[in-house]
Amino acid sequence: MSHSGQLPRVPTSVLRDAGTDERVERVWKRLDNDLAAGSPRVLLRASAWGWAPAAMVIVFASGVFVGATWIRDEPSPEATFRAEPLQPPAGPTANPEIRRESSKEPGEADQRKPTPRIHRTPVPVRELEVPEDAVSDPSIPAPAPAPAPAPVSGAQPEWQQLFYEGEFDRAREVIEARGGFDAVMVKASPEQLMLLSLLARSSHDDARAIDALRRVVSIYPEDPNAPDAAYQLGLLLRKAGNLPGAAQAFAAYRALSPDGDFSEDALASQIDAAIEAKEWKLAAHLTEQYAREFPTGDRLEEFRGEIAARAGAAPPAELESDDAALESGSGESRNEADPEAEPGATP
Amino acid sequence: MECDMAAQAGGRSGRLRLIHGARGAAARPRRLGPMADLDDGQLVALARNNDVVAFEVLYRRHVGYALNLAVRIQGGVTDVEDITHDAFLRAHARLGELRDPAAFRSWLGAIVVRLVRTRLRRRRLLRAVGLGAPDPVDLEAIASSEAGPEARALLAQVYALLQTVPPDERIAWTLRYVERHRLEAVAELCACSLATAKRRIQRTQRYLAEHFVTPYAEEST
Repeated sequence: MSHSGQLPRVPTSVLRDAGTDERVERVWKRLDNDLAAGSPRVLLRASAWGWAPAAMVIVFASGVFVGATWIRDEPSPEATFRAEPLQPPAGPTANPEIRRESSKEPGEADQRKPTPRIHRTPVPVRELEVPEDAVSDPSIPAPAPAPAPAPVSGAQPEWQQLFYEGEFDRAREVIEARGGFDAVMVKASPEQLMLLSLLARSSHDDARAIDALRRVVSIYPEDPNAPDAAYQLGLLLRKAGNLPGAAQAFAAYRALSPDGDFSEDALASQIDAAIEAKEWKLAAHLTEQYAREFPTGDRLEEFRGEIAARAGAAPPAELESDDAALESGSGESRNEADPEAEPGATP
Repeated sequence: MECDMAAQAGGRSGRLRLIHGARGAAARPRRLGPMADLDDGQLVALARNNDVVAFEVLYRRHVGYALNLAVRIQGGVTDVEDITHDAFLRAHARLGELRDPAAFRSWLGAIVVRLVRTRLRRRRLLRAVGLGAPDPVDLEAIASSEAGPEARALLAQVYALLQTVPPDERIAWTLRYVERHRLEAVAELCACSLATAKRRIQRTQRYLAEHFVTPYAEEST
């Protein structure tokens, strides 16, 4: 089972060498030109031009600070009205185990930052290959696009600024003063939800971190943060022992980001979860899917060996024919092969 | 660390990647002749007298180190060529200030670290006033194509967490645990005392350990 508190070493063998020939030559060409010109203007560029945006930033920050102070001190009736309809998500995002009462955070709706943090180029969403009822945790929503609340422009809330400054304890204090995590989460943007999940984890409150990540996946599935949120959610749920939930979160990650950095890890984690839950048929199906998508995957032989040893059946040929039956839409042969399998629980 | 040239099929996509190591780049210097055999101290002495070839040998010998330092501290390749270019230009302009010519490499490293630190602080300031998003973690730039999924997941998570750490602490930790420098070297590169370097590293290590979630079950690791 995954756990926190142990940070593995970063082996140098897994690090890429950035000194490619092309890069080395490109830098040298520029350097050679500058040395030949014998001018210090590049240094001038590095220092003087570096200060120009900094000066602009300081001027802008002053304006933002004054504006934010003014807005915070005197919230307009209109702003208060706009904040009213924002409520915690109902239905699929609500986890009865960890859901808490939410309260409103006065005046913060107008301070949200509209621009999401972009981690990677958005990729098209594909259909899940795992059957919907194979892992049944109602607390994990299907990653179907849902209309997201329109973000409201404005400055960052105080807790977010404190977070970026590394003042996590003070950020938590501000959040508590504004009604607590739940209240802040209700009106948070996807980026803010990601930050809230980190803050919650820093105080070992995984349940709240899970809440925040769930909101990203369920309310903002098209946000660039959604795949990361789904992956982190899978890790945390597995850590909490919720294997079906973890598997579904990993499946959500793969649906949201089929070619993402962790798609192989996510599928492997789904297989791990299926093996741990002794869902042998599901594990076998996912393993074959892993073999198709990642034919050189590091864990392919491990999974095949594990399934063969612990299930005591299912040679590859049978699994392939099972896959073929799945793809052709006939499910009867599965139940014949394993009459004890739960209906629909395995592909 | 990859060196020379290696070709490897890139996983499921089947794309071919060519990896060029720093030693590979340094192994074929152009028109450098016998100067390539001189040590750093001798080359610095020549470069101080405006010998461009000597400086080019120094460049090719240490550019891989400078590039890797910048990429691994930043967690991406954004602006690394500018940083490396400026670092060598500054080094060239200030060669006369280098007291121990044989220590060119660590001196250059300190310049790179200072430039990266300035960039990180500037980005952080911009972010604090809502004028910029954090640089995305560029896993392709950090992780070798030979790194397995576990290693990639480890790097991605560590660098994502490092983004939330103040630049000075992030730099100290990266130098110690990614670049594997000794504590004294970390202090020298960060231009701080040994105690400060230790404190920064410990604080970051504690923070990372608290937040790190192992991506695989124990029995599979």
